[in-house]
Amino acid sequence: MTSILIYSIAGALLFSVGMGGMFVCTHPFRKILAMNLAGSGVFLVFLAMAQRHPDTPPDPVPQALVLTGIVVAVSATAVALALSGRVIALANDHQPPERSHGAQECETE
Amino acid sequence: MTGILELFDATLALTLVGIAVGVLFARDLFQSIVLFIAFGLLLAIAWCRLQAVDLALAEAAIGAGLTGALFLNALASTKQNSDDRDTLNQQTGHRPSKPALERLPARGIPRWAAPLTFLLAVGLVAAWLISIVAPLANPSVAPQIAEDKGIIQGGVTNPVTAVLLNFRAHDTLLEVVVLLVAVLATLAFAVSTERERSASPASPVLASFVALIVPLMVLVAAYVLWIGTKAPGGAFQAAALLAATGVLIMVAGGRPPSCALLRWRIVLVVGLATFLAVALGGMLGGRFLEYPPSWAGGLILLIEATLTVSIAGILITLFGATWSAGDPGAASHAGDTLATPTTDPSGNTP
Repeated sequence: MTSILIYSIAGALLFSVGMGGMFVCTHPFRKILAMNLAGSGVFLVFLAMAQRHPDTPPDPVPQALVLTGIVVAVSATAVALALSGRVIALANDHQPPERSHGAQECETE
Repeated sequence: MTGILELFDATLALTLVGIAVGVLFARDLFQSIVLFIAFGLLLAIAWCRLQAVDLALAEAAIGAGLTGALFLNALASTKQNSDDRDTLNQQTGHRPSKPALERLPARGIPRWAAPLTFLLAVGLVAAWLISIVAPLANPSVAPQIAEDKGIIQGGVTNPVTAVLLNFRAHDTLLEVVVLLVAVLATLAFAVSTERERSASPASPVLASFVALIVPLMVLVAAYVLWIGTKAPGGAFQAAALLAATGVLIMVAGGRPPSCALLRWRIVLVVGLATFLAVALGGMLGGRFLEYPPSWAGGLILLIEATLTVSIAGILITLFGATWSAGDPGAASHAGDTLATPTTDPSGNTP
C-alpha cells in the first residue's frame, strides 16, 4: 500500500510541476516538455491506482489505457513540435530590420 | 525487505520529481531534452515496480526514445534555421538581432499562475490521498481475468493485450485513427518538407553498425509482437522497436519515406483497414468488434501484426516529416528561401 501511496503522490507532484511549467516557461519546446511531464504524472497515478492490492496482480484496464495514452502522447508531441517549428520559422522569416519595429508587434500577435 | 523497497520507491519518486523540475529550469534546451530522456527511463523503472512491464517497455521505447529523438530533431532544425539566419545576416550586413523566440509575446502569463499551480498541486495530492485511503469499492478485474476462463474467450493470456484488443478494442481502434490524424497534421505543418533533401554520407562506423543492428531489431520486434499474446509485449512495443530501426536508418543517411508513394500510404493504413474489416466481419455473427471465440486468438494476432507495421510506419513518418539534420542541400536551400523576407519584410506571409 505504501509504494502505491508514494507513486500516487509523486504522480500528483509531477502533474503540478508539468502544469506549472506550461504556465511559466516561454519557449514552446519547453512547454511541450512540460506537457509530457504532466502527462507522465497522470500515467503514474493511473498505474498506482491499477495496483489496488499488493498481493493481487494489477488491474489491466488502467494499464491498457496508459499504453494508449503513451502512444497518443507521442503523436500529440510530434504535432506540437511541427506546429511550434513552423511558428519559430515564421518568426525567423518575419524578423525585420531595425526600422520596422512597430510592424513586428502586429506580426507576432 | 519491504523497508528497503519502500526506500527505493521513495528515492525513485523524489528523483523523478527532481528531474522534472530540472527539465523545466535547465539553462540549455539541449540539457532539458537529455534530462527528459533520463526521466523517461527512470519512469520505466517506476512502472516495473508497479508491475506494469508492458508499459515499461513502451515507455522506454516510445516515451523516452522516440519522444527524445523528436525533440532533438526539432531542436536541431531550429538551430539550423537560426544558423542560416546568422550567416545570411553577415552576408547582407544586417546585425544579428535577438533570436526570434525572444520576440514572441511573453505576456499572457499572469503573475498568479505560480501560486495557482501550487494550490492545484496541494489540492490534487489531498484528493488522491483521500481516494486512496478511502476503501476501494470495486475489486480489481485482474483475478477474474486470470482465473476465469474468460481469458480463453479473449483469445490471449496477456491481460493487457486482452484488454487492448478484445475487451476494450474500441479504444485501440480509435487510437489508430488519432495516430493517422496526427500524421496528416504533422505533414501539413512541418517546415522541412518544403526543402529538397539530399542524402548525406554518414560516418562509416555508424553505417556498418546500423547494418548489423537492423536485422537484429526487426527480429526482436517480431518476437515482442508474438510473445505479446501471453507475456508482456505486443503491437505497440514491437512498433516502437521497428520505428526506432527506421529512425536509426535515417540517422545513418537513409531517406525518410515519402507519403506521396502509394505503397507507403498502404503501409500507414493497413492496420486500421484490417482492424475495421475484422470488426465489421464480427457483425456477421454478433456485434461490432466481437470476435468468434474460437478464432479470437488468430484474429488478434492478425490485427496486431498489421497494426505493428502501420504504427511503426506512422511513427517513422512523424519523425521523418521534420527530419533535416546533417543535410547540406537543405541548409543552402533554406538560405535561399530566407533571403526574400529579409530584403522585403512586408509582403512575405506564405
